[in-house]
Amino acid sequence: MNREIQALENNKTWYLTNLPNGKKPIGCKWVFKTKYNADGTIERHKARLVVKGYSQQEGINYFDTFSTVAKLTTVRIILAIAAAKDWCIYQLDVDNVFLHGDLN
Amino acid sequence: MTPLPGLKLPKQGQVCRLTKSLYGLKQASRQWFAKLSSFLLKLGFAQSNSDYSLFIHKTASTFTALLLYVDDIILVGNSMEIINKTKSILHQTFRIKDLGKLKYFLGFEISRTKKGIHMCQRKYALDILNETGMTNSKPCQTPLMSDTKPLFDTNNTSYNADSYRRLIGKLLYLTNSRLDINYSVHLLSQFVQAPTAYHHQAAQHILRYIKADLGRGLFFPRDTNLQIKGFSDSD
Repeated sequence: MNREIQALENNKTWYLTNLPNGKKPIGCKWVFKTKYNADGTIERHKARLVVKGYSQQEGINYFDTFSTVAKLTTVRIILAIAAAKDWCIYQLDVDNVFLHGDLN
Repeated sequence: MTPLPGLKLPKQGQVCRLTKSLYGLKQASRQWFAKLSSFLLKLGFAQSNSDYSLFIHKTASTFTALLLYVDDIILVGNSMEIINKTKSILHQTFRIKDLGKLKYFLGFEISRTKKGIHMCQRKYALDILNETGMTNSKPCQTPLMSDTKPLFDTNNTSYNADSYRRLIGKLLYLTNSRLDINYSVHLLSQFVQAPTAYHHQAAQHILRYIKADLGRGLFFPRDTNLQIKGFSDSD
């Protein structure tokens, strides 16, 4: 939990301000999860702060929600070309991915 | 946002104004994608028109492709220099974990030998067998029952539509590496509206076929000339 707070603070996710008239703040809560290893032992306890997005209204609180994901045919083509051309394939994973987006 | 519990407020009644997105926000995934794609474009990557999650960086002698699946990234190319440079720039900006060579992606197990790249969904297939209680079933050699007529008999009462739909959904994902079950799965997926006992039986038949060779998948040979081949047929 401390690590998540640290990430949120480093990221300058928010600043404190007075509530504008007639507006309602969106709720938030902590979600706690225990991650297990394959053998059933506890790997770590994970905490994540989430906002209650279900109370957001389209057109008022947000406009577009689209995000693309790779088509699997693309994945297969990439693999096929990499095999034929002897290219290296590497995999990366982004930490705290959804904390990176900017809001305006 | 309401201040999170435990946050010390200098003044009562203050709230948090979000400047960055948070998990749970409807636009969180979009904001992330917008940020990363504009960042990649600045680095000289071009976004593909046929798959927007594919970014390509080309110079006279190098070719680098970056494939994005929300927070999973695949980097491939012929220049280690550019790959390493991209990795370190991404790390500085977003904090990434380097998972090394591609081994496991979206449930696909990928292994490389001298002869090429093999891709399969062994674990995914095994999970389906476990969930459906088919682990001890007898394997079979054909992906479809020989008699398909009863599939189209709609007079029988349907039951267990939920579990049938779930199973068909999983089998559909499995077709990504098991093209041999493509026909049977798509045939059975026509009946998700009202599956009968016979459809369940046919689905189990597919599961027993999968069980015969869990690690079967796609093989991309190293020794090949890259050419698009087309096939056609006329009646």
